[in-house]
Amino acid sequence: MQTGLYEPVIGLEIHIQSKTLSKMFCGCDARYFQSDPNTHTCPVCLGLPGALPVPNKAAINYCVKLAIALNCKINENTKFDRKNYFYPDLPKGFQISQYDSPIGHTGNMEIPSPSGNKTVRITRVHQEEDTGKSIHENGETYLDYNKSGVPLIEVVTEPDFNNKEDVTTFAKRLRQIVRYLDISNADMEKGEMRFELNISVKSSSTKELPNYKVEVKNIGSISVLEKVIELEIERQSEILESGQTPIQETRGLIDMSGKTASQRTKEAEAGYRYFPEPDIPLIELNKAYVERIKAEIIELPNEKLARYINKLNIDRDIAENIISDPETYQAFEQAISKIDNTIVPLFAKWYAVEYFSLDQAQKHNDFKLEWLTEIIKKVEQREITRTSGKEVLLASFTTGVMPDKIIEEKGLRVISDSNELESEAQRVLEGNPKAVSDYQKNPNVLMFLVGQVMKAMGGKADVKIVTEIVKSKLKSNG
Amino acid sequence: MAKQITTEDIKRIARLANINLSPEELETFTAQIGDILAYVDKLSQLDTKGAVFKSQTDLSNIFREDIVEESLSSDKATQNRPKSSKKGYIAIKSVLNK
Amino acid sequence: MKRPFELTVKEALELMEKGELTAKELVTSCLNRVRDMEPEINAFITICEDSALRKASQIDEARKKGEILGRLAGIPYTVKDVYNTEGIQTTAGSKILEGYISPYNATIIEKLDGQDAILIGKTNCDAFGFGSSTENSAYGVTRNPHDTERVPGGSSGGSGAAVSYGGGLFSIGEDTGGSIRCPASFCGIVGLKPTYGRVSRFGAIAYASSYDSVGPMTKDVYDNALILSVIAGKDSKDATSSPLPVPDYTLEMENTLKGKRIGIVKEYMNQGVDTQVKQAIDQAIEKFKGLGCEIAEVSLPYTEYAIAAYYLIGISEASSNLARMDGIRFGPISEGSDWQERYMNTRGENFGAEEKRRIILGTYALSEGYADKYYHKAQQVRALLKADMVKAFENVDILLTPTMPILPFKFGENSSDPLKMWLLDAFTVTINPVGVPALSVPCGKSESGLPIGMQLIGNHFSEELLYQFARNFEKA
Repeated sequence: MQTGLYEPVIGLEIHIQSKTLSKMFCGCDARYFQSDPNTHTCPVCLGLPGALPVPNKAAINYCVKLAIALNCKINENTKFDRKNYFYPDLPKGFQISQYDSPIGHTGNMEIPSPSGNKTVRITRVHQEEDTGKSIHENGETYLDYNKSGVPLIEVVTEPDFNNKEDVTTFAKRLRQIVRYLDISNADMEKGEMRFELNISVKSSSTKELPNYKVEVKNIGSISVLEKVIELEIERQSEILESGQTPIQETRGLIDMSGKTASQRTKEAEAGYRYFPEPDIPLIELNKAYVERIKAEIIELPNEKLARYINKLNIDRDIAENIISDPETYQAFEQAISKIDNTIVPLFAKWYAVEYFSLDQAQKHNDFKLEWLTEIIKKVEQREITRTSGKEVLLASFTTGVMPDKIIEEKGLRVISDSNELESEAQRVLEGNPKAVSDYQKNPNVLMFLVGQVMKAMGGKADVKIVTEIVKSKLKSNG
Repeated sequence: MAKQITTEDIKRIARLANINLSPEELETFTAQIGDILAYVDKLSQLDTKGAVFKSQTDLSNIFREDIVEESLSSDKATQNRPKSSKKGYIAIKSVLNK
Repeated sequence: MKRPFELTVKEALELMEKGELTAKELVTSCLNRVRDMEPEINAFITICEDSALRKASQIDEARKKGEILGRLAGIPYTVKDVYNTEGIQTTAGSKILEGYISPYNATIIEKLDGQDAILIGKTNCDAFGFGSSTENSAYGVTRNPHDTERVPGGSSGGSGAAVSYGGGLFSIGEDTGGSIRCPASFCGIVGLKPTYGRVSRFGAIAYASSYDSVGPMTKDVYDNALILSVIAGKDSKDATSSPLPVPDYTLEMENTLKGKRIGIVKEYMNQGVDTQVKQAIDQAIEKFKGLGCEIAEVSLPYTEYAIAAYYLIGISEASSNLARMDGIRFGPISEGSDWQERYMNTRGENFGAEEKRRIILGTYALSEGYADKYYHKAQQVRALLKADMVKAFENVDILLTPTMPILPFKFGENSSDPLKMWLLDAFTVTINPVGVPALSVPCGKSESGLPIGMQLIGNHFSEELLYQFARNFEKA
């Protein structure tokens, strides 16, 4: 496929399960994952005749919070609507959702993009409920309604994406935000965050949007999302190449390779016959309430990143790493609250690189983050080398023994006695006369000679001092 | 004046409502529903500009607190169906089209 | 000397308190009555004989021990078969719920049980409330005890007939467009459609969610007020239920009507009312005048659009409410070549004609391209109907109308023409979209002895006033 000839036009729809204790419209426990089938149900979420929905206040708060975090306008007057369609895992034959007055609309999210920051427009953020689960086996379909009625927040973007990378960046960032706000754990393996894709392809040379749209439903991970995008671009481009237009339709995943197949339904064609949910009174989200929810929002990823980079002088890559999830940044911010601002960038580096890799590989043995600060200070003050520092960290992490003790035990203190170093340097220079004479033409010789001194000192010399000594000797020689 | 509703229309709507009609029903209903639609058509004569129906109650913001309440046992939840081979589930013939 | 099944609730409570009647005797009397009448009347879909007798014995025991009993201790009652009763079949009068055993009780069942009333059965009705004659039930027609060739009204026809012949001392019906008032009128009993939200709908199988009203059907006005006092009130499980406090509705009934104003609806007078019905209403008006009331003419200008608007919204909501009858979790399931066929056959074979018609119409009225013209337009008209009613009450305390424009009709007389049947609801349908309360009270009989009812309509939450009018009328 010729790249550059066609480009995708992509909009994303994301469903997020809220981490409330109870379901959206009834008191069943919403934490149903891996529970026995149909043990988290009641007449309401089973859709039994005569049962009535009553909305969960906390779920509404969470939805409003996300809408605010995505810079949406909040609809002061909002309501629920019925979305009518038939499917076995939809017990009422309709889903309680929101149609023409969603909780939030017309928002945006900024994401970093290779070509600079990109603003993705958020069309809407609304509240709805999840469906039951069906398992297809042995010619039967088995239904479990534990998931039916769990609160679901839906986020819809405008078709602002024109490449796969921005889509995944957005998805990851949204997941981050949701976890920062503590409104969902967004664990994709548990189905707590799912994607739907709206994708069309157009010629790169035109500005006009394509006149068709393909919808792909029920994508459960970011990696599969990427694959679907790739395959759809390929499939649709081929059709366009042949002079035809891809069919406007709904498609579903066939397998985890990203391949999809057409899944046309009569509702997709005929509409969902939306009308206001008569069993639930109107909802008013007044300014005071919105302000109260807004005040609960702590620093969001974009802001935190900016602060880390601009105020704390942390490298971008390192900062991205640390802000990636609440547990990580919370531990970090706690640790740096006790150290000098000047050391923070360095601490961040050690934390995000050295400490992280240890932490991911094994459980620590009562290691305290202050010790990391100590190690860093000693490296900065040239008491131990950087390499030694890493060694001390590993040992301290695994054994729970304090850094000072380990430095003593392993004899890692750096030699900075200039007399000792002088004599060694002299010895090395005398032992390498060719190098010394080459120095005039080739400054790199310095490094070689320094290396030789370091080797002789067993790596325990202060390399800066050694370099100064060798340099001045070379100068005085020449 | 509303256009006459046809048997095809009724068939299509019935399908949307997941109802199978016999040929006799199709014919009878087309006539009866046609009559009813002609009757309710009088509403289109009415000028309803500015009339807004908000809700049948004056209530707003009726919520429940996020508290867990007891669920039904899976036996009770599935009591109107025979026990399936997979314990606790409700089984139906596969919805996957062959 | 009345036989126990002939007593009112008030009389029965008094006798039981005095020790002159036991709950067992009362329940037995009613059950025997049911056994005698049912072969012809067919008011019941399910009779709960064993559980009723058991509970009656328990209550008698408790009374003997001097334990505190509920306000309705020992009183046998029925409910329309749209109310969920745990462990007991609930069918809504439709084949699609045949054999359905609900795992939960409707809130009103909990409340009545809590006051020690005794459920003796589930009564017949037009399936899902779709009808005015109980001819649309999958469980046979119910006959009017006053003339068994005629309908008892609908859709709560079984409840109307049961209370009328003594199969239980009261019943809980359900009113969406007249379904309590019509059978109350046709069976010669008192029936209240309360203000929307006055009584919890939790556990009442829904017809039209924004219209459905749960209400008592009784032999007289006092009983009706007593039952309403027990079942009314906010329910945390019904978000549309009113938080307004529930008074004791029996307390202010005897207050004088002097100076009260009654509105006669101008537009209703042209509606093709049967002469004998008109006569009975005129006599009722005279009676109220004699009680010191002033009569005024009011206008409800949008009356001619009320039926159309009522139905369009009602069937739209109904089409959505009935989507859950899919044969998956409950009810019969049909064969088919794939799951969609099975869905369609299950519903096609087990819904009756009126159910199917309404679902199809409702689906159409909400569908893309038609929703604006039908559903949304009807909602706008609804706003106008509400404004009409509010304006009417600026000048009068209540409105008085015939409940039904005609006398109880013969079986089959109106059932071949669905639209004709719909038009019989002319006086009752405006009430539900607006949400105000309306009470049907017997006000006379035709020459051949057929009951005639008058409808008293009040402003929102004015049930006390309605009872006041009705009680004074009853006494006079």
